[in-house]
Amino acid sequence: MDNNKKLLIELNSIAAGYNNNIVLDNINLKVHELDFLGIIGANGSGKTTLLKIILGLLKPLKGTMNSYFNSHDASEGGIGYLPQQNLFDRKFPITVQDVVLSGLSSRVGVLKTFSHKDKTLVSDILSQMGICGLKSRAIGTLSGGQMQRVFLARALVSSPKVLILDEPDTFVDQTFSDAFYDILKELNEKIAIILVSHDLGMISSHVKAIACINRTLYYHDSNIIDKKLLDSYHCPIDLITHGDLPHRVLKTHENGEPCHA
Amino acid sequence: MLELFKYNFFINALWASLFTAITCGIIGTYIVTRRIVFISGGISHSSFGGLGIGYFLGINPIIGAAVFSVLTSLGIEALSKKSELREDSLIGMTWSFGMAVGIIFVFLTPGYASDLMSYLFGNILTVSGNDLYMMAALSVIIILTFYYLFKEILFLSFDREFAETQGVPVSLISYLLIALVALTIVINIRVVGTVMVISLLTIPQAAANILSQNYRHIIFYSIFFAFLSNVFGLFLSYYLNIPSGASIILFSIIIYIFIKLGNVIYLRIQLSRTLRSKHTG
Repeated sequence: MDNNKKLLIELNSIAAGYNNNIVLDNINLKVHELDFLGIIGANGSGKTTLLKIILGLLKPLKGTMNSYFNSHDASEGGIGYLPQQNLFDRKFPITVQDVVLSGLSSRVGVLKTFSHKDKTLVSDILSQMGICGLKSRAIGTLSGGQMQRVFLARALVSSPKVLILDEPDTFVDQTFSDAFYDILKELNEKIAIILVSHDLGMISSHVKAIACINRTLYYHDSNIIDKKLLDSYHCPIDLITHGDLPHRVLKTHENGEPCHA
Repeated sequence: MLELFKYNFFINALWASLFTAITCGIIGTYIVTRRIVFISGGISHSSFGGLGIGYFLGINPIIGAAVFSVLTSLGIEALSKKSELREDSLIGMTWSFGMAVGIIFVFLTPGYASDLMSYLFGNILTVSGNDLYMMAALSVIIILTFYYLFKEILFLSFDREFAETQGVPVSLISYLLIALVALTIVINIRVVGTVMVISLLTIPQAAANILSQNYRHIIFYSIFFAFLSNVFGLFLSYYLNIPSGASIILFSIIIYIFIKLGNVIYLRIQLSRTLRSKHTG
């Protein structure tokens, strides 16, 4: 690991769980700027719990989590979060613009309304995602790929230092998946990314480092990993591909049409 | 028909129609979009327990129901997140337990519970001045809550976890809103009755949702449709001497069917137009 890079998130011997059931134990993790970390683990390995700890949704039973963002500057976002897609109500009456605006809630604060500047930020990020024309559409009327872009826009609208993605491959077709990873690659030139998945094959050619989670975390500072190593990490993941991992030819990402607020 | 407007009870009933429409229109939109219709059904039925206790103690049954329902709703909100019990099982238990408590206390109360029927099935023609003050106060509280907390309510209803990562006080607002749900139910018992109050919290919203996918618009359409149902229901209740709860629901369903049919026909016309223009073009 490059020690010159700025430390963003630090987890020190974290233990966590629910109702006396320890799900995570002795977790140590450091996330630096421009990292691209893939966290893999089988179902029930504690992936979601780890995310909740990092996002501040769950208090650890033991250990500490520190984040080093510019807390004095409210316009600097901290963590951008893209949750799993199968968890939300597709019939919910909310427009694309409102979904993305919700990514600015922490900056704007309770009881206050969004300003024109906030709406401009939303338009900017939507046009970067190439979906500016969908601004006033209801979220449920979009295709899977468009929805994914909206949720990515919501995660990014606050200009976060770290982007966390939870199983972003669910419900996304292959065509969009390629475009999606192109976007992530471009984003990674500016911000750190943590990508959580149960499937190593999908992510290994994109990430810079892999961490395997199975109650505790094994950090592997490379995206090349084989079955033997996974076994030594006690990480019960089936490798979809054996031997050389497939190399994707990445297309250059084109910015969408400009968009007016 | 015009001479009806000379009667105080009728003017009261019209005001009640308006306040019922406002409270149910707004709170119902929250209930439907948050998908807590079943919880609300549980709260409305269990409020009967509070009515019974009110009877037994000789106080205004609506006050008894208000206290009982707010406590029940806060209890459901607290337990459903923490306890081992399934949320819907918890609601089923509360639902029947509240009814049981109500029936026990009504039967323990000496004498005949004369207006019990109106609490069960509603009687908009007997709404008193005091009832109206309570309804007006609740309308104001709900309007202010939704005015000042609109974005928080929208975001937490859509994606509670994400809202929480954004520092939205989701627990606090959820407790506040479930208490307002309970009060809305209780305040409107007079108009539609405990058994049927859930209708005004769901049917106008379903009709509104056909016309719009926008949360704010759904609120306004719901208030409008609820008001129409109330006024038509009020007349039917007066002329046929039937419980207003039933007549109001009848009209809200008729409105729903009209909107649905209108929407289907509109979409058909749109479709054939598109096909024709493609054909000629």
